[in-house]
Amino acid sequence: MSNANTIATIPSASPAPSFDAKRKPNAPIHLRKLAQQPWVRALLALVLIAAIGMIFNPGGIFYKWSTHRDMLRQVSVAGMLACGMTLVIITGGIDLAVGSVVGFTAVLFSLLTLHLGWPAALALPVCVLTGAACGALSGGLIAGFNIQPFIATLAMMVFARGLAKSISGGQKISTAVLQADDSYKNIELPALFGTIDHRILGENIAVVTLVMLVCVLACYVLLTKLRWGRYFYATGGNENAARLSGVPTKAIKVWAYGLSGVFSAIAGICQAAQEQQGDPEAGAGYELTAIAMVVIGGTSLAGGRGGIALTLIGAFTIGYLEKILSINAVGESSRLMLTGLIIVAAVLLQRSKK
Amino acid sequence: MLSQTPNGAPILLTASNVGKSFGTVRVLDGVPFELRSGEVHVLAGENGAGKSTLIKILAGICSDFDGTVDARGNHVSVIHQELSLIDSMSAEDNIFLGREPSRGPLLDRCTQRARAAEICGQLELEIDLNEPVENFAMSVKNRIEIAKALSLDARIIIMDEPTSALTKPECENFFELIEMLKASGCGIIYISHKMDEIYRLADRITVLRDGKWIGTANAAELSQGAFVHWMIGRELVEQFPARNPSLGEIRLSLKDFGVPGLVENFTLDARAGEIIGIAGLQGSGSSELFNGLFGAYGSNVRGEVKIDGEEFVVRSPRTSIAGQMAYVTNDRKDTGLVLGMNIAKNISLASLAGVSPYGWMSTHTETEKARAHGTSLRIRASGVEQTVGELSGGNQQKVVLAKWLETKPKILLLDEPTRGVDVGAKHEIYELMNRLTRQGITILMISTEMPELLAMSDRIMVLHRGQITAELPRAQATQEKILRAAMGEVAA
Repeated sequence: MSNANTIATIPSASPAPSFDAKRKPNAPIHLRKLAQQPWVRALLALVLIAAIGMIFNPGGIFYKWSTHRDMLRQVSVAGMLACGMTLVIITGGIDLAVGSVVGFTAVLFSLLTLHLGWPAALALPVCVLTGAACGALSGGLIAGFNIQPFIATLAMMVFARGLAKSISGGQKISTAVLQADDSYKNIELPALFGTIDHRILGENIAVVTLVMLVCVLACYVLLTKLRWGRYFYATGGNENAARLSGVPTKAIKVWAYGLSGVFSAIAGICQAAQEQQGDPEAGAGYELTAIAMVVIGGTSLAGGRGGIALTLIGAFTIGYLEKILSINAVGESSRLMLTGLIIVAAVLLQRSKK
Repeated sequence: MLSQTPNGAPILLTASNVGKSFGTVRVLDGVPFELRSGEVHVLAGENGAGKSTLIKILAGICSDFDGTVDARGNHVSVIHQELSLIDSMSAEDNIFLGREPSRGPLLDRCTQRARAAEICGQLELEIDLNEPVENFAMSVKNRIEIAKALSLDARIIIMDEPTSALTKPECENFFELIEMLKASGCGIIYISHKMDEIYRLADRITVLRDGKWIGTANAAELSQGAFVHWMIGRELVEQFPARNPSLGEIRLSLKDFGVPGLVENFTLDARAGEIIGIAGLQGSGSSELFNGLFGAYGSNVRGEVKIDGEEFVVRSPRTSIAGQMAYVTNDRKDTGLVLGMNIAKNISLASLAGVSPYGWMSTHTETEKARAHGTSLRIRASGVEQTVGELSGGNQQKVVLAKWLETKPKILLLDEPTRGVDVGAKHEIYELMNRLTRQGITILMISTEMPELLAMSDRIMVLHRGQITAELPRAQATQEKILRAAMGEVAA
């Protein structure tokens, strides 16, 4: 602290450019300062969860690579949603519709590829664009009509679930296709389903996990490397100041929700591929998991702060938590209660380090 | 101790030798005050004279002060310029908020309704008491606030610029109400910047300047001239750098510019290198003029704008920045800075295209630019990575200025550029203004600090309720002329 201040003060008589001199090479790294870094705090929660995993470790199962591989696969779909959620939360909003958009796009993707026999090259972009449209519509309501994000996306959440049920007729869309004579005909599962629900690199990593990591990387580039990303932070940090500084805050909001829709659609396609069918109920409640991942990572719901790396750590924290509870065969009721408690504990842990 | 004045009116409140310090700054020192039953006692003085601090002490909101205040058991109510009503709640619920009549744990709505109706009857306030207050006009809200004070049996009512949001006829009604309150034995402490209002209402006037008591006089015996002199009487110290403007071509030309309902018919030709001062009291519309010009209201503006002789269409802040305008707002925390971001990111915010070729951020360029501004403006910080929320007011203001200088403006709008800025940084900002105008930048500056306005402006426009009431060249401008015009006197 005092070290920083000596760099600070410019003797007002001297015009020497001492403003922001480089840190002295022998300056000690302050542990306390380090502990205030958001990513350090996020990692701390993850390490604590991992430590619990090592303690409650029946048969040493926590030390097996397959446990970690499965955890990665299991968090992937929600992790993709958390990417979009991070963008939206950084602009100061929230997107409750992501889970429903997963259901909608999962059904749409299955319909197009299984029932209508569209090629992947056509079905994929159509689904992604549909997701983008859902998100952009929420964003448009929020930016254009000043509807609170909670309300606008709640409406979209209900609406998209309705769409999913409407186009599927309330049925799961699978390879058993109903024929005109009321009989079912089993069609062959398109190759794309298998490709997505598949492990590569010597069976070591799931394709869906890679897809999630690509989403994370895209958000990382957007938020830290592009001018555009700065606009997201400025809009959430102080919308008035941002607007008066020429930031197109309304457009940024539409983009944030639109991108959230894109990530939701990608997640929906992966979900369909994993389940080998389009379930209109797919993704129900995923929005809450995604929000929990973002918040446990340390991105503030108030907007303007946080980042995608934090969300990735948060996703792993949630993933390990669920994995540990399941390998210890904790019953569902206890699992839910423990999850609730641990979310609060993780967030408090980060706060106390402030 | 006297509890009756010579003319028989009982004294409601006496304060003597009231003092208050914030840190090492003495904001009030040895101030006496007395309020009699049935009088309007105007408390006057410039911004920062200590009026609001004194009010807080008299009202018992601030209990940490020197000297004595004796309200003799009378209840004190304060009516602020921003009313303290809860918009979504009904009129009667607002009146009894926090002291709802009740029977056991249940609300006693009948009693509440009866008492509210009785009080509103006294105030000649005929409204539906069940209606949420957001549906009422400002003047009605004002009365509801007074009803709230009366329901508390307040004998002392402090009114802080109560008419700032009222129209002329509403003001008249309000003044009648004040007469009624006086007749019922209340004492009113009244703060206003409007000369006509003060002389219409005041029985006595007390003037504060720089936290000191200057005098108390019967309004009838205090001439307007003497009153203004009391308020601003200090000699100007040399806190301003000399100003030697060299004017160029007409840079900004406004013809009948206006923002509907806020500013009308603003006409101005400002030259390159000129500083135009804009004076006006609360509600004069000066900040709204800047907002309108900068596109904060979108294209909802009237009139013609020309920059360097070319038509300029006001559309959004983005297009105004492209038109080389820059706008330092009067509230850097609310509209100037992203407090959670660091210095470098705040400085680049309005000129991000310059540090992100093809949309790709160049952190290096951004940091270098921020460092250059940090050095030339003498921003005191641990480095460009420091969060601006941690900086002092003066340094925050310099970050805002740096942000706008980085956009290479031709026209700089400054709204209260030195508000909440310490003396040293103020001087640096004045020098910066001189430096910028030497480079041909045109500055429009709103300021409520008279000395600053007089010392820095080459010309002063005075606004009153959205209209220009005076345009004074530097040589002719005096504090008195500005104050009179700002209070609505149209210059002859």
